[in-house]
Amino acid sequence: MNSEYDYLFKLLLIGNSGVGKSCLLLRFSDDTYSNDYISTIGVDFKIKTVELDGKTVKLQIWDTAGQERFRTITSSYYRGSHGIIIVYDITDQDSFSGVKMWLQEIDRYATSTVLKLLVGNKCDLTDKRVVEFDVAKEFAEANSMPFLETSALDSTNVEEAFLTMARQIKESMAKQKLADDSAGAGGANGAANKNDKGSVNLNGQSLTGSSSGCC
Amino acid sequence: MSQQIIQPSTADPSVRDRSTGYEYTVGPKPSLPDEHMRSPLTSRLYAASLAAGKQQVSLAAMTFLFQEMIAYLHKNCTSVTEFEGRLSAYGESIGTKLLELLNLRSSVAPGSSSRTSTFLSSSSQTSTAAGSTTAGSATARSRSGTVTSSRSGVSASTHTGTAPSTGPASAASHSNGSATADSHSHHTHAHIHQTESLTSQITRMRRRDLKILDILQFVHGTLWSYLFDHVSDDLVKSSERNNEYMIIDNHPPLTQFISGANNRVSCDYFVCGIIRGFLTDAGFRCKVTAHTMPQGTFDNRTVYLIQFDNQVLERENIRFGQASS
Amino acid sequence: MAIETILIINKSGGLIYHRNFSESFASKLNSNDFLIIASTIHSVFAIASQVTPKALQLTQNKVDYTIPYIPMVGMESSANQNNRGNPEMKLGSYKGPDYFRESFVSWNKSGLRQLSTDQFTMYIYQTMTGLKFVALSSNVLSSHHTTANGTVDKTKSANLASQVADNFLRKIYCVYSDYVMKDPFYSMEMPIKSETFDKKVKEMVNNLL
Repeated sequence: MNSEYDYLFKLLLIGNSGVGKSCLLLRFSDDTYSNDYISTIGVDFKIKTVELDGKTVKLQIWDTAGQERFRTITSSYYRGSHGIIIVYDITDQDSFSGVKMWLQEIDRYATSTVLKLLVGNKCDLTDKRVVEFDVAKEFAEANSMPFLETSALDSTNVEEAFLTMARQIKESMAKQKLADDSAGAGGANGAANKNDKGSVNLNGQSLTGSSSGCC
Repeated sequence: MSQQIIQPSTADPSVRDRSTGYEYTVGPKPSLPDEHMRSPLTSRLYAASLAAGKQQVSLAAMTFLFQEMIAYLHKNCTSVTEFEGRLSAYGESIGTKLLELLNLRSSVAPGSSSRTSTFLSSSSQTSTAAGSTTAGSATARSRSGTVTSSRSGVSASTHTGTAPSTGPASAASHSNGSATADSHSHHTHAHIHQTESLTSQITRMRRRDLKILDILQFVHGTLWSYLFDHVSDDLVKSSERNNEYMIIDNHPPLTQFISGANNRVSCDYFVCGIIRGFLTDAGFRCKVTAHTMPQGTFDNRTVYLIQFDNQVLERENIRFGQASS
Repeated sequence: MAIETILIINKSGGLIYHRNFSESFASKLNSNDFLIIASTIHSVFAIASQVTPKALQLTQNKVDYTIPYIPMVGMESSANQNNRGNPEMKLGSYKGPDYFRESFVSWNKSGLRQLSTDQFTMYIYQTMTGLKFVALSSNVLSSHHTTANGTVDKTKSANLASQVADNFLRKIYCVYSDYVMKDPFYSMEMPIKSETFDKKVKEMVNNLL
């Protein structure tokens, strides 16, 4: 049985083609970087195991294809995701304009309670920047979602982006375990540890065999 | 209600014929029923006799309700002890009420109707008297202990006379009062009120259990059958301590779907509460705890440990001497 | 039919349960691999729904999706009902001698139902809500299966295996609805940790051997 982890969160990476979704993910999951550009076909998965409040959480990140021709399939991936990360390229104005379209997609296919995060990638390329931080920040606030600038190349903010999200999702889950305070409660309260047979004696003789019967 | 098993929804022809299945972009695609195509809704509920024999509660409905209760408490409690205590408190109020109800029902002469059947149980052979209000008042009397005598029919009918009932019920109770001993014979105008009462079937109230063993047998047998449709699997007296008894259920129905032995046993405190409420209200002060004790194929085997207060034992000793122990 | 692995995939493509029943290729994979396999199945399933010809989807009322009921698949053959001797079904539950007793209609009308390779056969049962129960069977549908009169009848045996698998997985769905859905300590769409559920599934798989 899959007892190695307690939670499985589904995170979705969306954004225009070429903004660096896959690189961002590669940095987060394997802490590597590749300069080669390979277009994602359909969807790709990466899994990262993290510990949150003593619980093992598997973050399964669905890296979707940004290209238009995969769009029909992509829509099916929104269902049931816990968090969606919208990525744009700070050196590409089009990708930032595309964010609006992606938000519409989210409204259409995902649940309304899904957590969103706006990420401006490639923030190491300061000389080529076209989308200002303040503009993006304002936009994110207007759409009530947090905003981060990251760089998959020098791994700025990458961990933060994912872990912030994971923590938020975890908080929204119901608490699972009550504190077992029976040790301090004393025997009188009767809530002694159930497996501790020493404190209670459950030996006895049956009375039902000799009973004169009721019903 | 008939004992119709709730089948998966494919068993319903309206779903089977029309639904086009699951669409991955929109989810399930249940098509709306065509109102004009459907024959008027004929619920079995209307056709069913009010006097059905054995009533059965849907296990799913019960467990889902129970599940919500657990989840609610789990969210609001900070410790296992608090959780078990509050769950037990829920059960206690049920146990208190069951003490009344089951004692009354056990007073119904065997044969007139099934013991497990409900208040509105059928009985083609008996005539009827007052409404259920009288039955309620009789319960109250039996609890206060006045109706423990053997003056059966008389006591029952005098009590119905004192009940503050109105309308046809009171008319019936008057006739009942005049009928005295042969209460079964002539209720000519009783047909006004079709609701049947158990009072006419009670010729003699059940005596309140005074001995520990008797009341435990009642819990083990009658209470368990009423709650879970079977007698508990064993009733055991502790071989170490005088005041401890155990009721054992090999397969507790309420908590059977709950995962994790520790979780499950905590949830069994609901039943502990029922037992405790039942016994305490009957004058047997006690503490009840649940323990898991798997045996053989019964992984969920649960032991309800009942620890009576010493005063209960002392009383029993004074009242019945050594013979009882 | 020897079942190697059972997977349960939730409606968003996350793996919520997996169990291997034999030492085979499947047991060499780690849990991350299984997560990826599950999500890939989910995605391929979605793609398969897309490629199902529209014409077929439009005429699907004429296609018979009824799966016949095959008695006692995955149940103990001898009817030794040990507890309390009342084998009748419980109201509002699937608990009973054989969970269900009627033929049913497959909800998996446009997706993937069966995947055959030289190594294994995969069967997928999809519920109304998009939950998927997947069984990996080591049985390869051989082309040498012959009927009484000696002719090769591959489709027929494939059909039967698929029906058995559907019956079997539907029973697992029944167990799921009892032991997972009615467990107050289960959080929706999350990995199934119930050991009672695990035990039941294991029992059923063993009975199938």
